[in-house]
Amino acid sequence: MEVQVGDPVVLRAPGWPSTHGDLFPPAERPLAPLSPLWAPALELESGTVLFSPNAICQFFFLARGEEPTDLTNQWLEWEATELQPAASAALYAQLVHGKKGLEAVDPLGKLLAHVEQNLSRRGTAYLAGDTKSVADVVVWGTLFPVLQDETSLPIELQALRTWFQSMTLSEACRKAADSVLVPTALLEFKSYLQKQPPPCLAMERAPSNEPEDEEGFERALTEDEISAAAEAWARGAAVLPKPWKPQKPVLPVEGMRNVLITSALPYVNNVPHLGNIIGCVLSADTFARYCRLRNWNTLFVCGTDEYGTATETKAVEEGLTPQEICDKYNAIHADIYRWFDISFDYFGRTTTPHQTTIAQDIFQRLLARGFLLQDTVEQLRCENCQRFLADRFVEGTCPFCSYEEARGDQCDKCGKLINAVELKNPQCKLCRGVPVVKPTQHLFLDLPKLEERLEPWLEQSWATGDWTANARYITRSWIRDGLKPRCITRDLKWGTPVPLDGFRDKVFYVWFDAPIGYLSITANYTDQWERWWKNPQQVELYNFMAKDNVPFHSVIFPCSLLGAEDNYTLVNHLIATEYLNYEDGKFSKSRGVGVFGDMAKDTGIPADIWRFYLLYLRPEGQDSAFSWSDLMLKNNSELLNNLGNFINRAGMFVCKFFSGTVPDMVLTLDDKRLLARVTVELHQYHQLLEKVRIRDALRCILTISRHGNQYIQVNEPWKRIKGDEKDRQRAGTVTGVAVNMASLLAVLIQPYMPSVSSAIQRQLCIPPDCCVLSHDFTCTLPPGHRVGTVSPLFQKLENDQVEALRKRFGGGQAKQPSPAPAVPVTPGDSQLIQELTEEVAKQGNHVRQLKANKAEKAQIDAEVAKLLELKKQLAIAEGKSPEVPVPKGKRKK
Amino acid sequence: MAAAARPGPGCEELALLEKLLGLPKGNKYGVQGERKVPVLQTNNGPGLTGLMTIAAHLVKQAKKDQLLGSTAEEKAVVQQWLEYRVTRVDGGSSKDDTRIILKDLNIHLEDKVYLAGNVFTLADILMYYGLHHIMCLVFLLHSGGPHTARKGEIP
Repeated sequence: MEVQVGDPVVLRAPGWPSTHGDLFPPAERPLAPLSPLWAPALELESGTVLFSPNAICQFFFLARGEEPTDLTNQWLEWEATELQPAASAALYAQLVHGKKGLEAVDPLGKLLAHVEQNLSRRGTAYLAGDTKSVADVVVWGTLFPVLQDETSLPIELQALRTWFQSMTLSEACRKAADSVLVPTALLEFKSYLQKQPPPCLAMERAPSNEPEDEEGFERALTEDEISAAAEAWARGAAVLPKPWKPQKPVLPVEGMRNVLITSALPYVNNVPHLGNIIGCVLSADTFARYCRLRNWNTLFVCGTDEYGTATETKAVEEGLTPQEICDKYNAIHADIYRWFDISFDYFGRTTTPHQTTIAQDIFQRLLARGFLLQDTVEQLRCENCQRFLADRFVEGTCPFCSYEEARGDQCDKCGKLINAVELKNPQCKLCRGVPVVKPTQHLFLDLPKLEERLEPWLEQSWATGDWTANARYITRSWIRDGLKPRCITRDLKWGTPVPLDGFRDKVFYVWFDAPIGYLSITANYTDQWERWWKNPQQVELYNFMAKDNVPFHSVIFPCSLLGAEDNYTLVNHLIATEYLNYEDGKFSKSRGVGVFGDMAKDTGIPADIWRFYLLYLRPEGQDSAFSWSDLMLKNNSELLNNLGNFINRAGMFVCKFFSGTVPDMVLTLDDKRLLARVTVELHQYHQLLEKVRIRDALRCILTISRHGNQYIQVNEPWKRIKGDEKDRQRAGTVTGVAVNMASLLAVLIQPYMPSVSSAIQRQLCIPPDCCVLSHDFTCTLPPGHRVGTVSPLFQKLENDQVEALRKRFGGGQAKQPSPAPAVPVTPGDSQLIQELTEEVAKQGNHVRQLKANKAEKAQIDAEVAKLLELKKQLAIAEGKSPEVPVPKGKRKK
Repeated sequence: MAAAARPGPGCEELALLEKLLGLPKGNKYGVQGERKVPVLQTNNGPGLTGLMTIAAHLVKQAKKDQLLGSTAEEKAVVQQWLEYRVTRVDGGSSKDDTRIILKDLNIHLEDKVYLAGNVFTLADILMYYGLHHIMCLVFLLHSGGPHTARKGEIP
């Protein structure tokens, strides 16, 4: 039996009879003809090689005289095609990505349920009957490594648990597990898995961004659906609800659906990258726009999160006051979001008097109700600066790896979290003095005490609201790991002051403070903010964020509000995204990798295209990856060739063939079928967006326009217009239906691409009252309606252009064409040395000047590259080693 | 998005297999899930799921058990290649996957008449179905036309 060392499949041949196969260490007898994927292999005496673990198991059972049955076959096939890929993914997530518990078995969810259902429905002890069979061994062997950790087995799956435990306890399985796993446990597999490419689930969407198989099946339409669609069409625009224009400021209205939307507050000292943008503000914006089109009374607020250590250290670094830093970056953020066309009702900030009032009020209420604890913490204090040194205000030698510039909270070299008092040779970051350890008092939010209020509230919110699966998992695992009191104060100046004697020189910790920003920002928008935030009866609250923010919104903040007992509006729907990667890596500010908000507009690609692409690959349910070539592909195929092409053709036909007036339409059964088809997609669009599945709903829009293109293609109005009376009438009907589909699309894409939407509305002169969403596809541009000037909506992205952008943003240090000398450089040429020395000095000045003038990063990078090249030449000319010291990467957080 | 069943390629393949085995028509098929796994509907119980499973069931129904192999060893080998067919051949999508599959099979078949050695089995039938569309393309690309394809004979 040959296996690759550490490959988890070894578990699947427990207790094999050694007479039938020999165990060969891989090195001794390589099975040459087989590619590595075929291991493990069992070589039989006849020379036949079995490489499939399932076939090997089957063989052992056959050798014992147990024939396969339909049922065992079915389990084996299911294991190979369904379970195996998912289990690999789960194991990979556990071992390589370090996911734990329920989150790690996520990919297995449905499959575990399948086993559970089969066991409980058949009522048998084992998968294929009341005795153990090959099916049990095979399925157990695959599940064992993943489910070893008892906590990862969902409690609801009773039958599965019983079966799994009885298998694990059986002698053969225990032996197999012991010989392979214990005592090194799963670590045995880790090094093996790390060398393998990450598993990709065949049933998931292809590696990154492809849509689910949607064209594959088209369900048949019923007669009723077709006639209903035709009736709805005939009723025309009159039946559309009138677009709701709320009074400003927007306030909850009795009897209406009142939707309050927040997106996670971006931290002020960073320029957001595309991942941040899709993670919260853009997702929230799309949903807010959808809500407004549904005539729901909607308020969308956000703002910059400005307090905390990072701001304070950044201010020291840049020689500005914290307030100046915040002003500067708040403006940068606001600019970026304006460019992305984010429709905030109000974009505020956390450094306002309202923040202080509201945060202190919540604090006082928690204090009065006994939900705060006091405790002593040992902390470093700089006597020189007269302050305790929080997290990043102290540096020293890492106690783990001896790196000399470790920060007080984390070591940049080994990445370990550090408790500041453990640093060797600690230094105050401000004065370089040596701090001393002193006890200091801090306040803690008593989460264990609040847990009994949290749990029933969560249960109720989960039962009635839409929480994304990751939000539920993360919350559940937080609570399962046990809630501990959480420190809510910090020894800083830049924050909301703690209004309690003995703590007056301290401020609130940002994570106690920041979510209160939602309330204070609303308070800055309207003095009637409490009608939104202390009104759970009338208001539905949606929180948008990336998944790393979940515990603060699902546990800590709700605990603060529940403890404060002031009828606060708590989150009903918590919408968390996974992560967006950049070209298969991570966005990295310090390495200059990826596109950041302020650079997107310099690419020459319009904001709506960015919006479209980011929403198209919104990490909904799984991570996704931004890719330049994919952006080009989606722009050229989906926008230009599909959506843009259809809308443009529909409008052009009206202009060219009917001199700008929508012609009469006589609907045939085929046309009505199309109306019904569009209606089906429209309903799907609503269903998905109501569940905030933004990415999936976008597919419905594209499907509608695909139907439209097909419709035009099949009916060929450009030919029929030249035909007889009947043909011309047909051309008119097709053109009229198509241009009305374009009108519907203009509204459907409004949440995704607002500028494109208004361009279509302008070109087709769509009445403003039609800019509202209903469940019907109705004729909004009746015969006689005049359209305006129709022009193309999208531009093709060319390969060269995209390639240049990829070079510019990928890896940051784009290779600039170096001013290579034409003459070969000979060491020791004094004239050349002098020339180059002068050039280096000149270029150096140039770079300094650019930096002083805050020129664009790309430009500075380019000039720095030139400078380095010149220095290199100079070094060569001087006969030195041409190695140029690599500039030290700055780390920003 | 629960879509109504439209028979997938798996069902067509099973219908062809029925014909090959000389079974009377009358089996009903459906599909399941995104991958459109075929399901054989039976009058009692939940039916059988999966191409391999149903194919083996049909072979037994036609009383041609020898197609599943005669010895324990042969049976395991047939099982292995059926599994290879549904996981690797059906699962692979890229050109690279196809190349590896064809290369592996070529090596395996170098010294054999059939996948399981000297006997013709269900593994050969399903592998033939599974590779058919790929092979058409391969011959088209490399030999100038489909007529040059040398097709295996099915006894």
